[in-house]
Amino acid sequence: MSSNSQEPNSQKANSQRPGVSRTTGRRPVKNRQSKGRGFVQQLVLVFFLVLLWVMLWDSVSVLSVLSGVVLALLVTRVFYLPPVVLSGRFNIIHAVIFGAWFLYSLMHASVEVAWFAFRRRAVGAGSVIACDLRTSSDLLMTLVADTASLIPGSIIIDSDRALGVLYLHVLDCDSEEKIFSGKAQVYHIEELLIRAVGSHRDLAALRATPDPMGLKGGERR
Amino acid sequence: MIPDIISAVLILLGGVLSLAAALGLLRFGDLLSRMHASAKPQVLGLLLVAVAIGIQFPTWATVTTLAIVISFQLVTIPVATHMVGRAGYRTKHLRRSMLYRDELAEAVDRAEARELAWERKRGIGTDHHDG
Repeated sequence: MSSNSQEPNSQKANSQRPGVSRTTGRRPVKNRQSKGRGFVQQLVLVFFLVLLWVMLWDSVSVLSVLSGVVLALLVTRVFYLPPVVLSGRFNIIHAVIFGAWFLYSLMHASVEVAWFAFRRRAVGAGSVIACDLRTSSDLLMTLVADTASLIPGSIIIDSDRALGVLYLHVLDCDSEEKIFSGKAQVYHIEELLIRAVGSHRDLAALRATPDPMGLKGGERR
Repeated sequence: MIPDIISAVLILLGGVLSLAAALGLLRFGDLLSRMHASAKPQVLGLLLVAVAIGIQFPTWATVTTLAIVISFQLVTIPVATHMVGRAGYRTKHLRRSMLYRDELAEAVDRAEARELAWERKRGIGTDHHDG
């Protein structure tokens, strides 16, 4: 969702400071190695489409798998999307940690928002906060945005793909401490996701700025 | 017997959470806060109902279909919320009194100031360039 959103100032910022553009890592490189990697990524995509198809049919048979493969190839050809650049890294332990944390947060979020709806006092003012992410990959930005939308008190409003900034609305956020904790949470999601599926570059970025809150103070752009 | 009780409790909880989502839509003060109500409680509500159905019909076919339902919910809800929230923000359908701080507006202001300064530097909009 963040990949095709055009934030109003992203293009302006881009045209002004071309050197800062983070898109450079995503340009298709025409050599054999990246071609092979692209093929593997296509395979992963086709595999999941086939899996979805088989799950919809509720049965694993030669016919369902074969028709699934044909359909998956057709779909990936006809509805061509810019290739999703997978990071090529997957840490199962951190993925499990993320999954458990996500489930816990989902429950926490639902109960919290439900409580806001049921309680007598009306909900207070919210805030729109900016989070300058450390990652530069579209996939991770999307995952962070998705996760932030599903867990306590934050929904994504806008994103600046070129600069890697997410803008989120935080529910019931009318003090500096609440803004601070809202931002800290988004950075926590990012850290968990980078450890689970981030590329080595993202990991390096994570190590370079382990504490974005302290360094940036939330105001630096 | 015990599975029946568990799934009954789960369905009840799911129903309460969905009710909370509806109440939140009614009671919250502005568009952006309402998006929270529409996005959150009912995800867990649906999850609980799905688990209850899974307990009642523990067949492979049912469970895979439920898994699809839940994963599509998880994928589509953030997108839907994002689209509505973004459209609402850009068309200025928001109550400033319900916003304590707005860093997106600050960023847009800064970008506009930069753009203006850049155009001045390049001489766009003056006679200088037309020569």
